[in-house]
Amino acid sequence: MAKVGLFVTCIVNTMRPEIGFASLKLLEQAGFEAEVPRDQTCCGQPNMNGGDKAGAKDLALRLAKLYAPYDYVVVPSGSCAGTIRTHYPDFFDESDAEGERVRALAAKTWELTSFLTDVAGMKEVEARFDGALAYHDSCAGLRELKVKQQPRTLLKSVEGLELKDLPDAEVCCGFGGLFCVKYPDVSGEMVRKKLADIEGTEARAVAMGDAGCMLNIEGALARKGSDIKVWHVAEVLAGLAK
Amino acid sequence: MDARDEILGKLARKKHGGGATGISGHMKPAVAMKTGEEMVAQFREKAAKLSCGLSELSRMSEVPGEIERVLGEIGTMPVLHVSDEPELASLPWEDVPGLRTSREMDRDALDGVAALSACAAASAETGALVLTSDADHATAIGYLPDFHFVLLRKSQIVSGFEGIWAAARTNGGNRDLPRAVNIIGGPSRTGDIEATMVMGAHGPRSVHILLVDG
Amino acid sequence: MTPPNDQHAPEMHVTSERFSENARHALDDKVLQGGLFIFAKGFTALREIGISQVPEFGDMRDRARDVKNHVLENLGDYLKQFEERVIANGGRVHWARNASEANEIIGRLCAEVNAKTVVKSKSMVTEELELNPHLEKQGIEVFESDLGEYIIQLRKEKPFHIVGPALHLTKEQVSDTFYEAHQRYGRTEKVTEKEALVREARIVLRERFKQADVGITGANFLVAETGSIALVTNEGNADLSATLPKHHIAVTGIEKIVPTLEDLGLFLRLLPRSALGLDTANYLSLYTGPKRDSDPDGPETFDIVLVDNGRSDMLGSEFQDMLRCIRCGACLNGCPVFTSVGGQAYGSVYSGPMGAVWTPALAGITHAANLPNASTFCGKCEEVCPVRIPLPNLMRHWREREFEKHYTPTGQRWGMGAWRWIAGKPALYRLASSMGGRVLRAMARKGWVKKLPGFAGGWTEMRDLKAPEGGSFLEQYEKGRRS
Repeated sequence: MAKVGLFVTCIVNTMRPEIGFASLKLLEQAGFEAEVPRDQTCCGQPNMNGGDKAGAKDLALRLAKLYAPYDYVVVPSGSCAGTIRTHYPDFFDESDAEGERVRALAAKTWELTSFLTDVAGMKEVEARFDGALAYHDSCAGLRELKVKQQPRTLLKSVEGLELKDLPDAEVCCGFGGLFCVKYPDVSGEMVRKKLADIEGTEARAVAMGDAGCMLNIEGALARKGSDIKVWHVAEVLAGLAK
Repeated sequence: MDARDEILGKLARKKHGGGATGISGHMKPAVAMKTGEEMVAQFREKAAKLSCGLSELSRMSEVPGEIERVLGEIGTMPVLHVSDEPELASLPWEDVPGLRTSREMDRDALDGVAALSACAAASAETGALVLTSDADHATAIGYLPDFHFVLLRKSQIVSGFEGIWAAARTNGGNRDLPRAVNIIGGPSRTGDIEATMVMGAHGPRSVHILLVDG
Repeated sequence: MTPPNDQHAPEMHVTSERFSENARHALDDKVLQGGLFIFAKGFTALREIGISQVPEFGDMRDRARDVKNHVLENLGDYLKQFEERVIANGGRVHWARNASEANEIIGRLCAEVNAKTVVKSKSMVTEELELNPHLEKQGIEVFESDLGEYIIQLRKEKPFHIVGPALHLTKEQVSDTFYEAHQRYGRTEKVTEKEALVREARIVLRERFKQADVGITGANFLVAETGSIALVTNEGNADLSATLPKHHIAVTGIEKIVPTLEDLGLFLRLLPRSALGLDTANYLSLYTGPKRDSDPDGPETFDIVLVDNGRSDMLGSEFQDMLRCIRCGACLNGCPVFTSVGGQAYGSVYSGPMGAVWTPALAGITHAANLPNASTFCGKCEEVCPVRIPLPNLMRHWREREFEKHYTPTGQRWGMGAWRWIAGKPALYRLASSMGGRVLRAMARKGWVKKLPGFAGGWTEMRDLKAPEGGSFLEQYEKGRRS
């Protein structure tokens, strides 16, 4: 049986562990043996986007070594999976032997919902969610990894779930890593627009594929006093969302 | 070192690929590949989309009367400045005594009047008209008047930009291109105030095509 | 990129240091916010409808990228071919290493013909050069003729958007501006409706076109095989500028070249669709040399000023892809940051994602660091770019330059260093993440953190932070939890 190494990401590890457990459950449902190497840390995305190329390169090599024993690496985040799959290979010249291992890692790394549908061939999940749910397309998953239909296909199979069309679902929520603390006003305006679109759907909850966007959107909803719930798509698909 | 040599020197030092990465072939979208009646039909549709007026005439001799009719419909009868193209001079202007014509091409004379010119081609890809400068054609005629009438023969319609370049090169005589090749897509317009389209920005507020068989 | 003390280093003045402050003002400006809605919704929708009618659009973008790459690899050769053709057609070509040189050349050309007034059509390069103040210092009166550009010239502002320079203004503001500025032409009645405002500008500028000694235009494209310049407008002002005055000067960047007319056709298919979803702009014009002997009209002289101003430095660097830009504005219209704060906040004539890459190249990363940083890397700009410029990657490269040169703010730099160190030590990483969760739980009230200290305070300015429940994932996993 193919072995899957789950990379839970820093935000999931620290802020939303349930997403990691939901991911394990889904991978098991899909027929894979999955584990999380205890020495996993960060993929280096903050360094890459902050201009610290050398730092990001170190962490890429580290991750490549750590996940070498696995057939697949699955990540419940479009932006961390995108960093590994789309950006890692750019860190090394074609001729750079060091880059070989990293290129191999990039080729076997998948965003969770994309892995479940495109690789594992999963068409439905065993889960229940009562009510209307909107889905927001987190940018990196959408544009770097073409994650668009995969989560929707699976969400539609959740019993009791009514999937709502979110207007401007592809427009950024304003998280952007350090962007949201460096430019809080601009980020605040972007998330304000996102909330207005979410509220307009009259869904009782919104789901997405990246924990960073979740923290941003749920934090802004809370500040506003809204009772709309925010879930990671893995939590909904694993039946952990209420 | 002077600026030219320094810039070109820098570019030469940075040159890579050695010019070998040439690009071959050409790419034409289907919208620019229509022929025959289909092409003419698409031209009509695209020209209308660009807010051009269009009269279809079977004979050249119908042109003066049609211009008088169109101006009458708009409710104005300015002097009609007729461009020097030979096919326009020979039109039966005497049939329309109510329409005053002039040959004056001076910038002050052209300001705000009506004008008639021929054209070099028209594109079914976009509905635009192609006007080229030469001894018989002042460029300003397409810009200074308020009303621009353009005589277009059906055979002058081309499928797309490729046909425009061929027509323009022919009109260039012994040089590659005439001084001015103006591809005009309807009346002048601007969206610069509150993104609302307003017709008649700097050029004509009306462009009317007289499409003649042949 | 440029060595210090280089007297021909690129020049452009910016106020991008004040991005955050400018952005705050922009966000509070209700009128501006209304205008921005047009870009975010209207222009984006128009583009989508326009390109949906051309199934080959994606392939055309690939080809445009390839043609531009080919040109950039052979830029010197194409420029020489272009120059040769211009001269053969009776025109002249001038080369300028930077803004000062370009302004000096244009100033000299105007002085040679004793120019009193100049009429201009919209040219972003001349905005970059700050040409108008240079000519005005020489005692020349300069009139912008693109309606939007004319309005911001009267108001002494920088363009709001590379395609729609005045779209941040209301018709009331334009009305006030015209009322004040047009009294000198004897227009004493205040007009307020859009049609009337356009008519008034037309009447005033028509006289300027007729009187001007020199017409200055940009060039959207230069065609190497014919020595032509291509101009794209909707108003017809570029054509009047290139036709009525006795002298025509076209000012443009060295990267604007395309090899053949056939290639030009490709770009003319992409530009209006990317900008506004249109099949074509109103006026697409090619000008090749001065008036021919038999021509009834046209300028007696035809001068092209080819401006480098940092472009040759970008060639062969990690920013080379930016030189493919055709200034359609699609990346601005699609950008969630641009459509939140507008063009003025960027403090540069080039705003939005394309401006975030161009501006540091021209003004230096020290002055413009905010621009490549004020991006979430959402990738919408790259998605809509007609020549497939990887804009987020290029912004990321500027952040790398900033980091290499130690311009990155100290706190952030230290933070990234510390992060890299911790991430290399898994036991410490596990401990830090568990501790982090505990600290947040302790700070929270009813599960929510309302205020964070220091740098993280930017988060709680706008939103709460939900504290994690239970231990970290790795902590729980280690204890045997699996689902």
